Formats: sequence, structure tokens, C-alpha cells
Amino acid sequence: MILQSIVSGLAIGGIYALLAVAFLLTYRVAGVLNLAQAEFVMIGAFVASTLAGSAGWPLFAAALGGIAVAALVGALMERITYRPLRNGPHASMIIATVAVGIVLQQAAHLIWGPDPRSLPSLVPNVSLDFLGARVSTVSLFVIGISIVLIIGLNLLLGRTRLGLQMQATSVDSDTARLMGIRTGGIVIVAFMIATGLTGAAGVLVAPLFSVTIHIGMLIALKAFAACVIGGFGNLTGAAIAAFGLGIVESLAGTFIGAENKDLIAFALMIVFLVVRPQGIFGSKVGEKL
Amino acid sequence: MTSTLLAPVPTAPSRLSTIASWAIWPVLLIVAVALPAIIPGNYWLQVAVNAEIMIIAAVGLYVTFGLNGQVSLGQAGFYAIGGYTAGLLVTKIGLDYGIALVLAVVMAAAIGLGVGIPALRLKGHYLALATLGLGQVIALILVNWTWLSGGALGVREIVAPFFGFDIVKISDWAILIGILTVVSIYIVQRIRVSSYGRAMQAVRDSEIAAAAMGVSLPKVKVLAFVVGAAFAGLAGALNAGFVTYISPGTYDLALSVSMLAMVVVGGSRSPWGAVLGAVLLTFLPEWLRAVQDYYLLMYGLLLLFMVAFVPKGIWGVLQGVIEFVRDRVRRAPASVEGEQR
Repeated sequence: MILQSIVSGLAIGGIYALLAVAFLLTYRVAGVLNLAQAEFVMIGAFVASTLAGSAGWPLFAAALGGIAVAALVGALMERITYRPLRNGPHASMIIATVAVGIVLQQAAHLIWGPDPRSLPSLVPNVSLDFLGARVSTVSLFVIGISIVLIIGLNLLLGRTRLGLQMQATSVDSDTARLMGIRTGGIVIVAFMIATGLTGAAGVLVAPLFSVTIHIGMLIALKAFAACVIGGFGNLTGAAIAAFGLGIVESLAGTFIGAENKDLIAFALMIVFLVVRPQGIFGSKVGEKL
Repeated sequence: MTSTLLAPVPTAPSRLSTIASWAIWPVLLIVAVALPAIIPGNYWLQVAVNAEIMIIAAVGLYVTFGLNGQVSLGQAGFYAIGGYTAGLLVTKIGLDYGIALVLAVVMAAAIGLGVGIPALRLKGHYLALATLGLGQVIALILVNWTWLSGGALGVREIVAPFFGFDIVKISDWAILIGILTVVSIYIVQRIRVSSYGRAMQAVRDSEIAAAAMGVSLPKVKVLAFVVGAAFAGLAGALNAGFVTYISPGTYDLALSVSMLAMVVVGGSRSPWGAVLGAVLLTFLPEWLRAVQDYYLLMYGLLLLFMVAFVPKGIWGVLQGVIEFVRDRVRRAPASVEGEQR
């Protein structure tokens, strides 16, 4: 029973983790808190389900299609939020991302209508017997893919030229530009990677829930909470916190009762904001002037 | 950015504008009280009262966001606290609605204080997240703690006399809420020109500069946040009394966003901007009933457009136009003199 809830907790935690690292990537590189992330989960899920359903694409191609569309919309979003507002007050940027979220959600509502869609998982759903617990292959697949994607992002950031350029931009974009890095392009790439990862999370989560315009809402909010809990400075830390949050939620759902399950993430977030605002893995950093 | 610090309002306003700035309050009060006589039909009066309720919430948020620059995405939470405090006190204890109203404001302010003190140690964008989380926590509590909130069914029949007076008709409500709306705008306007208001603006424009001038950052920020929470609580409690029925579905993120949108669209640099935004965004869905399916889409696009191209909001644009015209009027005689010379 415990093992079973840990595995399903890790699966939903993997989804949170993908969103958390995506959220931090745009925040670190461009300084943008993307509050429209929930809608990119929705885009990934809707596009993939349409491609797989009515267009009859093979599942894998449909999944890639969903991710690609999410990344393209992300690039577009960079154009209409970050580009015009980067020198304005933070508040404008935050409101702009909220506005983009509303527009995307309503556009999806007009395109796909109110009826929920479904998307089958890329792997067949089989219950495995694992140390006496029933574990579904779908959960294991979600856990595996999310870990692979997060490790991949880490390698990209640490080992490649593009990743180092992104890091340089996040540390100090003016100096990075003086060193010959095209920071404008780097920011677009960061947006596309982040929204692409979010779209991937949508493709992964769609088989677990039904696909509606609200599919990403709670997931994204919990990913924000995971970022606060893990610390804003550290992608890996936030990912670990996200997995932890998934497990805690799942255990709480099993043992305490489902009705207060959703409260835990936000309660933990507020506790952390009060007691340790830099998060578990963060260190105290002075504000940039 | 420092313009407000270095060059505040013109120092010597003309006598006419001084008189106007005093005369506006009795005029507004008369208009608010006469509203039921001006607006024909209960339906539009109801919409107008809703607009007044949103004005109260929006001018409160103007203090938090406009004056102090803090992005709160949890105003619906405080609105809910106000509504549920008043609703539960009236239905469960049988308290007078007037007293419940006062306690609702106190409750919202207290919770604002409790959340604000820790949350405001964080820089701006963290606050957006913290308030987002708070709104979510409150919404979830309202649904899940059935013993307290009545769960998804909500609280019904919130009917009680207001300090002994029976307020039942829509026109009576319109008068009560109208008066409270004008008083709220007046209070916010006083806060704006007070030393606290100036300190809030200084903190908004540069925390470091304000701190160097001896402004206590935590005190000013917490105050601005609590004012916003208190007005949201008042608005929520008035809504509960006016509608007589509340349920958790009302208090979602969309409501918080729309309150913020009112301040942004109307203009975050003046309480009148918030007033304008609240009226506009309450009436807009009524006018756009024909294109209901597209309303939220247009609303999102409007918000995006305003933030990107009209950062001063509609009120800011109006002010710009007035100043431009005034300049032209003043310059015109001057150029005539120049020609004569």
C-alpha cells in the first residue's frame, strides 16, 4: 500500500518536477515568472490528443507534435511579453503572463469546445507486481521520462555551449551580451525549452486525467509551490522538492483522506515562505540592485 | 521611475481645482444616494451595485498595487474571507449585519496582516506567488471544510438588519453600498496624500532610496497590503449581504485576476483609475452579452494590450489628453502675445 502510493506520488511528482524546472528556467534566464504555464500543459495535451485522435497520427508522433506546438507558442509568447516589457516593472510582466494564460485558455476553449478529450499513454497500461504492490506501467513511464528529461536539461545547461550561454545570460545578461552572446536568441530558446518541457508534461499527464482546459491549473500551481519549497536558485533542488511533494501528497491522500490532499502543497509553500524563504536547497542571496 | 519622487504633483494648484477637489465628495455622495432614482429597472441597478462593490475592492488593491507596487493575486481570498465572515456571523450566530460587516473587515485585515508580515519580507514576484497560493488555500478550505463553510453548497439566506434597520429592497442596498463606496474612495484618496501614501510611492519607485530616506520598508509594505485586504474584505461582506447567498465557486483565481485587471486597465496611478476600471470591467460583460463566448478572450487580449501599450491605463490617457489640451489653451494666448511683440 505504501509502496503503491509512493510510486503514484513519484509519477505526479515527476509532472510537478517538469513544470518546476521549466518555470525556473524562464525565471532564471529571462527573469519572467510565467504564470501561463498551466496553459502550456493544456496545449501539449490537447494538440497531442487531436493529432492522435482525429488526425490519426501514431502516438509517438502526436506526442512530439504536442510538444512542438507548445514550444512554438512559447516562442510567440516571448515576443509579446518579454520583448516589449523586459525593461518595464515586474508587475507588468506578471500581469502579461496571466493575460497570455487567459487568451490561450479561451482560444483552446473555442477550438476544442467544452467536452473533455482523452489521450492514451505511450505505453500500454499493465499492472506489475513489484515487491507485493501493484504498480502501473504508466506511472513508471511517467517517472522515467520526467527523470530523463530533467537530467537531459541539466546536461544541456552544464555541458553544452548553448547551456553555458544560457547560464551566462541568467547570471548577467548585459555582460553576456558584451561577451558576444546573442542574449535575445538565448531567451527565445529558454522560453521554447521551458514551454516544450511543459507541453511534454501535458502529454504525460493527459492519460492520467481527462483533457480539459483546466487540466494544467492545479498542477502548475503546485509546481510553483515546489519551486518555493525547493528554492528558486536551483533547478535540481526544485525538481527534488517536486518529487517529494508528489510523494507527500500521495501518502496524505491514502492515509489522511483525499479532501485535504490539495491543501498540503500550498500550506507547505506558505510555511516555507515564512520559515525559510530561500527554500530547502537555496542559499540566501542578496537582491540584485 | 523616480519621477514621483523628484517631481510630485504641481505645488500650487489653481483655486478652481482646489474647490473641485473638495466639491467632488458631496457631489459623488449625492449621485451615489440618487443612483436608484437615476438608473431605471432593478437589473441595471443591480449591475451598478455590483460595480460599486468592485470599486471598493479595486481602490483597496490600488493602495497595494498602484501606490506600493505589490502584485497581489489573492484578493479573491480576502473577498471570500469578508463574505464568509459576514455570512456565517449572520446565519449561525444571528448577528446584526452592520456588526458582521465591521467584523468581516477586521477579519480580512487580520488575515492580511498575518500573511503580509512574513510574505512581504520577500521581493515583489515572490509575493505574487505567495498570494496566489493563499487564494488557492482559501478556495480549497471553503470547498473542503464543510463543517465551517457549508462546503460546495455555500451559505444561504444571509439576511439581517443593518444596525437595526431593515434593508431589503435593491434601492436601499444601492444607497448603503453607494455611501460606503464614496467613503472608501475618500479614505483611499486621503491615504494617498498622507505621509504614509508618499512613503508607499517612494517604496514602489525604489526600495533602496526609500529605506535610505528613513522609510520603514516592512511597516509601509505591510500597511499597504493590509489596506488592500481590508477593502477586499469589506467588498466581499457587502456582496454576501447584497446577494444573500455565497458559494466557493465565486472566489477563484479569475476573480483575483479581474480585480488586478481593473486597476491595470483603469490606471494604477490614481484611485480614479481603479474606479474607472471597476465600472468598466463590471459593465463590459453586460454590453458584450452578444459575444459572450468571446468575452474572456477579448478580456485577456485587452489586458495584454493595456500592459504593453497603455501602462498608465485609461485614466492615465485621459489625464494626458486633459494636460495636452490645457497646454494648448495656455500656449495659444502666449503665441498671440509673441506675435504682437
